[in-house]
Amino acid sequence: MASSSKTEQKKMLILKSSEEEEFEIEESIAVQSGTIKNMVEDDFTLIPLPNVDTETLIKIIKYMKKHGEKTKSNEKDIEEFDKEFVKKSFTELKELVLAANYLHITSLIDLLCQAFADRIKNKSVKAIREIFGIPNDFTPEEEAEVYEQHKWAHEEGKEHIDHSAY
Amino acid sequence: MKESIPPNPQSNLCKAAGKRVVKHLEKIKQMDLQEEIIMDILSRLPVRSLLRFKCVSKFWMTLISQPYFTTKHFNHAKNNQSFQKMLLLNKEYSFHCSSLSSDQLFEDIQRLDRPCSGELWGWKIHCCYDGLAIIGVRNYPDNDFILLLWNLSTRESVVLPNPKFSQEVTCTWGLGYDSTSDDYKILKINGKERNEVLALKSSFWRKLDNHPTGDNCALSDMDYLAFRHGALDCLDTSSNMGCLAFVHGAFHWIDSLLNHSMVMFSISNEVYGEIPLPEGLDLVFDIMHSKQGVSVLGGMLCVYSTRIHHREYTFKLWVMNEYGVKESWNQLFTIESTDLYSITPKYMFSDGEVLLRCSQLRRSGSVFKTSNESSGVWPQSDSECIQDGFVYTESLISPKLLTWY
Repeated sequence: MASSSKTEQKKMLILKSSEEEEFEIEESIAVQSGTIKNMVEDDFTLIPLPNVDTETLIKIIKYMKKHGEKTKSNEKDIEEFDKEFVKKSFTELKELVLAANYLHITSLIDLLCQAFADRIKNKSVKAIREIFGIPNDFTPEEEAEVYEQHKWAHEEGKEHIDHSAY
Repeated sequence: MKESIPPNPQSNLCKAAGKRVVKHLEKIKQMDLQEEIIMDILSRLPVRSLLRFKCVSKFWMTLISQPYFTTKHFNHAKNNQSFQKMLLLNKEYSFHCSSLSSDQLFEDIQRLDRPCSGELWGWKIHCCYDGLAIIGVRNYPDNDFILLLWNLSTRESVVLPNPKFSQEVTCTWGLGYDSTSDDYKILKINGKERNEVLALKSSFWRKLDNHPTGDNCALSDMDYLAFRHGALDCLDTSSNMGCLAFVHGAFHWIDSLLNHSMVMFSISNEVYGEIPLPEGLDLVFDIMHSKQGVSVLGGMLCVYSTRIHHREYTFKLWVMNEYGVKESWNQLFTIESTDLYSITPKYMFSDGEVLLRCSQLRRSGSVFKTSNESSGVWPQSDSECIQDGFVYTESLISPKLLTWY
């Protein structure tokens, strides 16, 4: 293919979700994903993403489009977008971070992991298990031992501990 | 790795390549990704949350306890202002810790239980580094000194071996990390052939040679001014000795026999050297009227001085933008005051303001303010008497793991 010049039409890619739905996106925007970038370098224009469902893919495309138009003047605008973007349920955030990780979109991984951290830091141990779907594999004695080791961390300021799993 | 596949998505070759890609991508998505993501999230949490979350499951407990995670967490914390905290010691020898902010100064002040129980008195913070503090305390009734290594975030502490020479009030301490030996070292400067170093992995203090030409005292940094003005009851409670500035793999201090440079002591090869002082800083060792010292702000070496003239105190601060390069000294600001007679810079906020520890006339102990003109002093009330404060970074670094003896 001839090398692209500014006047040429932008190169488009097709992203296909695990549910076989297809979405057209500009290559220049899609390569914010390291995974997609690698495939483009191998001359693919139809990118199958069997690990990303349609709903999640739509959100990710929205993120990439917004961040694709980043300039020096719209930093505040993008910050606002990011703030709103992470106002989602833990279930949605989990799907998003798995997809972002799979797609190697570093800025999105950072944004999502930070959102998780901000929201879980004051949660109770039980709430954490629920949010991440982690079974408690301690015996009561074992758990009591670990609790004792850092008792002050549990007891001091415990009125601020949040027990909800949302 | 360019595949010569025709761009027609319908071709069989293309479909086959598509299948290969899918297989490849499927391999990537393993359980490891979950672990990687969890580790990323956890490395952004405050230490207190992490200690609680050890109870979540055996896997989380193991993850949070491993040295690799400690390093990952610390690498994230050290560049993040929300992980910088203040350690405060008051006249009743109580410890408190707080968050830092350039407008409110200290927020969420919390009491910190003393690291050791027993009949102990005369607590003193010698120095802080990487979230670890070196604390000296006296033991009733023997009147022995005990030296402690204390992680302020996990509250874990160990007793360190005592130095060969007694912990006199006139010595100055520094803690730093030596990447060559992957070990922390404590340097204690006392002059008079009493300089010693403790590598934490070893269990004994080693006497060091003195600096060839210096007098080996960081006394110029001592707050004789504070003592003179009655702020200190006696030299014994001099928490304002300052500490050795550790940056770029070396400890730094001002020596009264060197006029145009400061001493540096490299932590890995334990060799003395000199770093030129800024043009415009004339060292004055008339301790009744002047003070100068070395500190670290924003990862840069800095030097400061206070001079008194006609009842007005002038504080100046220089920052060395390029380590070792004399021309890169930059005078940041000057503060003129009629009542703040001894100022030590403690921390640089992300907005460029500097947290200062000051001694104030007619007031005992230390007060804090920022370099912003409109900043008030803290504590506001006279009833609070703070001896000193040190900034530290939250970390999981374990004193017990550092000292396996």
